[in-house]
This record gives sequence, structure tokens and C-alpha cells, in this order.
Amino acid sequence: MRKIRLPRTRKRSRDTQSRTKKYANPVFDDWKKSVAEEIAVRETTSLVIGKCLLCFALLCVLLASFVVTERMQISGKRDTEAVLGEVNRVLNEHGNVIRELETYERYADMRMKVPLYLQFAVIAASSKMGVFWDSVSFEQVSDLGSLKESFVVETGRNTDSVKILGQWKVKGFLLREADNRWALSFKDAVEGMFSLMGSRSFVSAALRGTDLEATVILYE
Amino acid sequence: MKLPKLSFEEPEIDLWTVKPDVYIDLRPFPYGVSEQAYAYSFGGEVMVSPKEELSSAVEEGTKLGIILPNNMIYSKFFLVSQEQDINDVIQNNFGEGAVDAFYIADIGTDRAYVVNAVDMASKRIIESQIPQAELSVVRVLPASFAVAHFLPRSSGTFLVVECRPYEVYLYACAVVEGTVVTLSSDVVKTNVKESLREKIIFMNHKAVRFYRADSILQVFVVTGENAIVPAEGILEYVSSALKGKADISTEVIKEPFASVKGAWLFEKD
Repeated sequence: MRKIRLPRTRKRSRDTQSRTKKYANPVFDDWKKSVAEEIAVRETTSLVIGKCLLCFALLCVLLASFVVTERMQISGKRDTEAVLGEVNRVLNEHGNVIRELETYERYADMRMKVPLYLQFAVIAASSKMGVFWDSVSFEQVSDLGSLKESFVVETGRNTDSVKILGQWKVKGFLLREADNRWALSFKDAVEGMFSLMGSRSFVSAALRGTDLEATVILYE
Repeated sequence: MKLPKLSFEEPEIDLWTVKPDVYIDLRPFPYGVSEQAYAYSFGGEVMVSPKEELSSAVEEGTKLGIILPNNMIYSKFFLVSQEQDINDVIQNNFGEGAVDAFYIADIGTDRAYVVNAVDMASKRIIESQIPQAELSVVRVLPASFAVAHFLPRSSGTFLVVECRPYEVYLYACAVVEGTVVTLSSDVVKTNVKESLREKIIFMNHKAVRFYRADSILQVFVVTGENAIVPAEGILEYVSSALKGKADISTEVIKEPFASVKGAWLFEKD
């Protein structure tokens, strides 16, 4: 097949004359050399300065964004830490409440001859002897540990022949220093009060200066 | 790793952003008994100095605007068809030298350009006339264009008869889209009466037939004190040449430095 070549239409050249051009100005290159150099230097200088200013502006923007981002990051981190601290504090509080609720629930589940709140009332009543309680806890354990020997000696009963109902462990301090007579008096008072409720008890109290540490064992 | 290339555009050299410090008319004036001198102006008063004294007035590095006689600068009005490109036209018509084209307007389906060119021979003459080691030229204008700018604003085709001490210059000009265009030019040095008549008839014919312009209806006679022919004589020759044309207006302008003053008027336009 024969190819038909169409005549290429010539593209009409655009009149790319500078807007400032006022007429045809034929000047030889060596005539305008010095002026052309002056213009070229001026144009190049302004171009270089323009590019430098642009680079500097970009650098400033980058630096500013870096600083702002850094500050925002630090501020965000600080805020997050504050929120986390607050969350931890609330969680700790709730944890404490939960632990206390678990203790109360455990205490409530203990079915005893003398109800626990009455036993606590006895312990609390003993504070009239001038002792301030620092901590009070109750455990339903039968193992007497180091008190086993003194229990046997003082009560005249073997630990196997009695049923241990529970142990109160209390810590507190006295307003002034006391001697063993105070401890005996404390022991008699507590045991007397428990006996009034029909419950037998054994009290072991240790004094160290004004600090008091006592264990009340309930048995039958 | 390849570094990206730095993209610096080549700076555009636009001489129109630079104004000349001085305009010099390179057509000689008589000075003293036998010396020749040139008219020049820094924008104000026009001065005349011989070539030797010109060097003290025009210092090194002064930006020059030069006005050349129309037989030294080729100034032509071109109508370029749609198929043609002005750069091709320039390439085909002009050899080594300084060439520049100026777009005037679209005329019908053609585009009109003025092309000005100075050849190498003229360059050597110009360089020998200006006593400056290194020329710094920012403007080159044909005398017809510079003189036409000194004349009162007119329209259509007009004839300028510039009477100077050594010769009489003839310019057939037209105003196209506000730009003065030289359609043809000529010079008469001897046998003024006969030559002038013939040349004016031919210029009128050329304007109408070659450039499809109107016939000459307006004549300006620009003359100075040392003109070779008095204005009255010129008017007589012109009337004789254009005899038979209706309503030809003539105006005599007494100004020996119309070209230098016209160039500055164009510059300040």
C-alpha cells in the first residue's frame, strides 16, 4: 500500500517579543557585550538572591514546624503523663476500695458465735485505756505460731483440745510509757469483756516504749 | 547517589530595559572650514563636536544610542504570510551582521514586521567614526525613524524631505498601528532638481504598488540653516513631482537636529 504523505502545515511562529520591545534594534554582540554582562550579572544576582531567600524561607518554615512539632510533642507527652497519673491515682483508690470491700465481704461471710462487729466493739472499747489503734485485723486461722507455747501455759489447755475461732491482731501506741502492769490490766479487760459475751479469749500483749502490739485469740 | 541538577534559566538580555546615555547622529555636519562634526545630545540640548572632541564628551562606558543614515542601516517593512516564519525570512535575506525584527500588526492574513539590519562593512565604518576603545551601544535607529518621531503626529503615507548640509534625504513613511514604518528611503547629493523629482515619483509608486499603502498626501520638509537647497526650492520640486495629486499638504519644519531630538522623543514615549 502506498503511503500518502500530507504536506506538513508550518506552525505559525508566535511573536515572542518582549512586552518592553519598542522597535527593531540591531546591535552587534561585541557592542552590547558590556551592557549584556551588566544585565546578566544583575539578573543572575537577583535570581541567586531570590533562590537563596526562597531556600532560607523554606528552611525557616521547616525549622519553625520542627520547633512547633517538638513543643507540641512535649506538651502532648506532659498531658498524657498527667492523664495517666490521674488514671493511676483513681485506679489505686478504686483498688483500695475493692480490697476493703473484699475484706468486709470476707468478714461478713464469717458465721461466728459472737458476731465480728461485736468482737470489734470489744477491741475498740479497749481504747479507753489510753491506747490509740493504728491497725486492726482479723484472721480466721487455727495456727497460733509462736504464741502456741504461752497459750498452753496460760490457759492450761492443749491447742488440739480447743477450737480456735480466730485471731485479732492490733497495733497501736500509748500516750505515755507503760509497764507490764498496764499490759496485764489490758489483758484482763479484753478477756473479761469477751467472757461477758460468752466467748473465751487469750490476749498476748507486748510493749516497746509507747508502741503496743497485741494478739487476741478467741477459742472454745 | 546523583545530585539533582541546578536549574538556572539563562537570563534574558533585553536592551530596551537600558536607556542610552547619549544619542549621536552619525551623519556628518560641516565644522569649521574643512572638518566634519557630529550632533549629539544627552537628552537636553543638542551639541555639535568634531570627531576628536567627541571622545572627551563621550567617555568610556557611556551607553550610546546611534542614529545611522538609511543607506547604512537596512530598514525594511516585511509582510510575512502564514506559511512563513520571520526567522526564516531573516535567515534567507541577511547574512552575517546585526539583525532584529519588530512585529507591527496583522494585516489581512499576513503579519507585518520591520526588520533592521547593519552589515559588517557598515560596522567597521561606524567603529572608525566613534572614538571609543570599547563601544557600548544599546540602541541603533535609522535616521528616517528618528526624524519621523520629531514630526507632528500624522496618519497615512507621508514623505519626509530632510535637507542637510551635504545631501537631501527622502523617506516615504507610513503609520501602521501607531508605529512609524519606513517604506522606502533615498538620498540625493547632486543634480537635486532632476533627481529629487524622479525619486519622489518612484517612492510614491513603490508605496502604493509594493506595500499596498496609500499614495503620498503629506510632505514634511525638514531643513536647517546650512541646507544645500532652500526650503522654497524643495517645495517647488516636490509639487512638480506630485503634480496631479489632489490635496497634498506640505509643511516646512526648520530644525537642523530633528533626528537627535526625535530619537529622544521616541525614547521618552
